[in-house]
Parts: sequence; C-alpha cells; structure tokens
Amino acid sequence: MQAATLPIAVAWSYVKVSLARRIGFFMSLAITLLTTWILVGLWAAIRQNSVEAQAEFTAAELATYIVIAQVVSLARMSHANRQFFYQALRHVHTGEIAMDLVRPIDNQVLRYSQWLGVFAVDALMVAVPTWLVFRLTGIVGNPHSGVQAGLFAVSVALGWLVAAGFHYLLAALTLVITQTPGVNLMRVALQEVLGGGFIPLALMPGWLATAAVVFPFHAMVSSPTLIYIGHLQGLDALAALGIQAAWGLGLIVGGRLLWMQLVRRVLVQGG
Amino acid sequence: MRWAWIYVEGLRLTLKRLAQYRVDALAMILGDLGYRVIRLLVVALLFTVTPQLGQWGPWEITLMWATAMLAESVGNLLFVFPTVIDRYFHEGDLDYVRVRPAPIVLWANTVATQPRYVSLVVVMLSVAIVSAANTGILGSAGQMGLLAVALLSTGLVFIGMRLMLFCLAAWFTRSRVLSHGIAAFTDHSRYPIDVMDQPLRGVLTAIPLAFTVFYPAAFALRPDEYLMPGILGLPVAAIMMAGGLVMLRFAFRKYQSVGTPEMWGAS
Repeated sequence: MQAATLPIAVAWSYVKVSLARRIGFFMSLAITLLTTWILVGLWAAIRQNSVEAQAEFTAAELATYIVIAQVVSLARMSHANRQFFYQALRHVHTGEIAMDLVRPIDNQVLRYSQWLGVFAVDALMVAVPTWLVFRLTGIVGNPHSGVQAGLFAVSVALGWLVAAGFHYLLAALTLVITQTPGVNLMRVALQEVLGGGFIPLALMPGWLATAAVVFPFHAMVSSPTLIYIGHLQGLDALAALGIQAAWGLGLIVGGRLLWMQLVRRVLVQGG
Repeated sequence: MRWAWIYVEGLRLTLKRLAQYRVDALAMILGDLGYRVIRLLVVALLFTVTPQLGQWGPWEITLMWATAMLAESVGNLLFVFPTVIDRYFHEGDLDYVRVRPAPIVLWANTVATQPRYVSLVVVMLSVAIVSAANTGILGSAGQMGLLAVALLSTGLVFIGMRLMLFCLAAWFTRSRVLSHGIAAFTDHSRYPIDVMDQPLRGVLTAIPLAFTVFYPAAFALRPDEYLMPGILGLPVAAIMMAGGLVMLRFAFRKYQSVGTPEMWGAS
C-alpha cells in the first residue's frame, strides 16, 4: 500500500515546492509567450515565400501548429526542465545520492514522481496560460474536433512519459561525468529541432525528417501538435499514440538498465 | 602589474584544475559547441523551406547569428564575472573574494572561465568570416569597420544586460531563472525583426535585444538603410553598461554576507 502512495506523495510535495517558487514559472510564462510570438511572426514571413509551407499548412493551421508546439514543448528552458536535471547532478556531486539510494522508494519511480509534480505546475502556470493568451487573441484555433481533443490530451501525457524517460537517461549520465550541462544543452537543441517544435517535420528535408523519426523527440512535440490541428486522425493518430507509448516504455526499460549499470560505479564521497 | 600576475596565475590554476577532468571538459566543449552549431543549422534548414526571409538572404542571417554569438563568446571569455556573481551572493562567498589581493571582477574571471569559451570564439569567428565573405562585405573596409563597431556594441549590451540580471541575486534568491530563460529567449530573437509585427518590433527594441542582433548586423550589411539604429547601438551599449554597473554597486551595498536559506539546507 505504501509503495503505491509514495510516488503520489513525492509528486504532491514537488507541486507544493514548485508553487512556492512561482517566480520561475512566471518568468518561463513570459519567455514562452514572447518566444511563441516571435515564432508565429517568423513562420508567417516564411510561409509567404514558401510553396511547400503553403501546400502543407493553411496560414491558420501553421500559426496553430507553432503555438501548440510551444505549449506542449517540454524542451523549454523552464524551471521544471532544469530542476530535474541539475538536482540529479547536485546529488552526485555532494554525495546526497546516498540518501536517494536508501529511501523507501525506487530511484526511477522517485525521479518520475518528482518530474510529474513539477510538470503539473508547469502545465498549469505556463502551458495553459500560453494557450489561453493565443486562443483569446484568435491566433490559435480549437482542437480539430472533440475526439481530437481527447486524443491530444492522451498524446501530451505520453509525450511527458517520453520526455521523462529521456531526462532519466541524462540523470543517469551524471553518475559518470561531471560536465553534463553541455550534454543537456545539446539535448535542448536536438529536442527543439528533431521534435518538430521549431520546424514542422513535414517541412524538413526528407533525410532529416527520416532521421527525426528514429529519435524519440518527435513523440514529445510533433505528435500531440499534429493531432491537435487534425493532421493526424483516426488510425494515423492511434498509430502515433502507439509509437509514443512504445518510446515511453522503451525509455523506462533503457533508463533502468543504464542506471543499474552505472550506479555500481558510484563512490559516495561528494566533492 | 601585480594584478596582471595574479590574473595569469589564477587562469593557470583554473586550467590546471580543468585539465584534471579532461573527459568532462571535452563533454562541456562539445556539448556547448553542438548546441550553437545546431542553432546555426536551424537557420540553414529554414532556408530549405523559403528562399529568403523578408528582404534577407541565408548568409545575411547567418552573419547576424554569428556576430551575436561571437560577441557573446568574447564577452564570456573576457568578462564571465556577471554569470557567477549570483553564486557569490547566495553562498555568502563574496566575503573572501573581497579580501583577495585582486579586484573581484578579475578574480571571478579566473575561477569561472572555461576552455569552451575559447572554442566558441574560434568557431563563431570562422562562421562570421565565411558569412561576411558570402555577403560580399569582407572586401569592403568600411563595412568591416562597421561590423567591428557592431561587435563592440553587441558585446557591451550583452554584458550590461547580464550584469543587471545577475545582480538581482542580491534581492531575489532565484535570479538564475531569469538568466536561463533570457538566454534561451535570446536565441529565438536572432532573426530580422523587420519581418515581425510592429508591437513585437517595439518590444524587442525596448528590451533591447534587437541591439544585440539585428540592428548591429543590419548596420554593417546595409548601412544606408540602418545607419541610425546602428549608430544608436553605441549609446544603448553605454546605457546598458552604466545600468549594469549601477546595479552592481547597489548589489554590493545590499550584500549581507549571510547567504540564502537554501544554502543553509533549509530548502
């Protein structure tokens, strides 16, 4: 019974901690709003001169795509993203990882629960307000249909599972290298590009779009966004959800195996 | 002269420390470089979708990015102090830095500098030269002179902005949330603002991120068209630096040597 309630308690404690540090989320909201505003303007200018973009998206669809991609983007340099990673790094550096290892909760479940709590606050204080602002200004439309709205919600949740799994892999790397912030920077850039948040996959050169499908990033941003605007419907949408679930589960298994291998090399001495 | 010796000695010790963790240093260099290169690749990718962005071609926009990143990298290399000052405030470490036999700025630079800043300067300088050659301004001494002025004003605006942001640490415990967010946002603002709507142009000019990317580069590329915003870059840089130094002065006065509750383990 305790095993079942502990992750919820951890997630809830991170909701409270995150809410106590609201300034990070307010900043993240302001920056997400400005970034989205810039990208909407940029893509409107690109579409004017682009035959491919005009063929693939109407002006309204493209604006909606850009906004929703930023709303669901788990790559933004928010408090939520950094905290998850830097906390793992700090625990290894200071030796606090010893306490993590003796806690009455599995390390992977602990990290996923923490991330869930922070993500919930990020969604509430950054993602939803961003959507609301652009919805009220008429730049972004509603989901393509009620069914699509439901599928979109499932897809966002699965996207979170994939992102959490990828973050856990990086957190595991902190066990062997100290300068993982460089790796984290790369992760942000790759996630933004290959996730389709900055350039829709349909508008990328063929080789890059193919390469993007090999990585898990598209499952975090592109899939939910395409479901929202109705470019993925019916069986295509279900297939996208299946791929997201497969990535999510695969990263849980992969992260677990990597952690089990690397944690054997840990010498708890801090420094 | 004595300060110069201390500075060089501090740098030597920092590099010696970093050399003990070769793999880690390499991971940081490659990670940071990879991040910047991917950002530049995005610019290239955008031009596979469209032949031009407003009135600007691919090499002109690459030059805008390279100028901004080069100025930022040189700023980090020579004046990384603003990015570490919040740590001194939070941990209460400013005390022992203040009594060291070198100015705080110099000392902080020696302990916080990283080899990745050198690699970034080299790479971004190369990209800037290649894009300057492809835009045709490399052969024009006048335009290259304007580019040098643009680099100077961009660098000073960056440093002034950073000083202001990081000095907020003296009043708030979480000033780093500002700096990380602004850094990410800065990357997205490195496009020609003349393709954006009027209110957004106003915001980017007022912040004044447009003076770190668009106006300086446009000044060098099309001096006839962007003479006034280009010239304005220098007073804007002076104002930002002055603002940053005033903030630094107030921050030092505010500093109470006690650190923050988080550092006491109360978070």
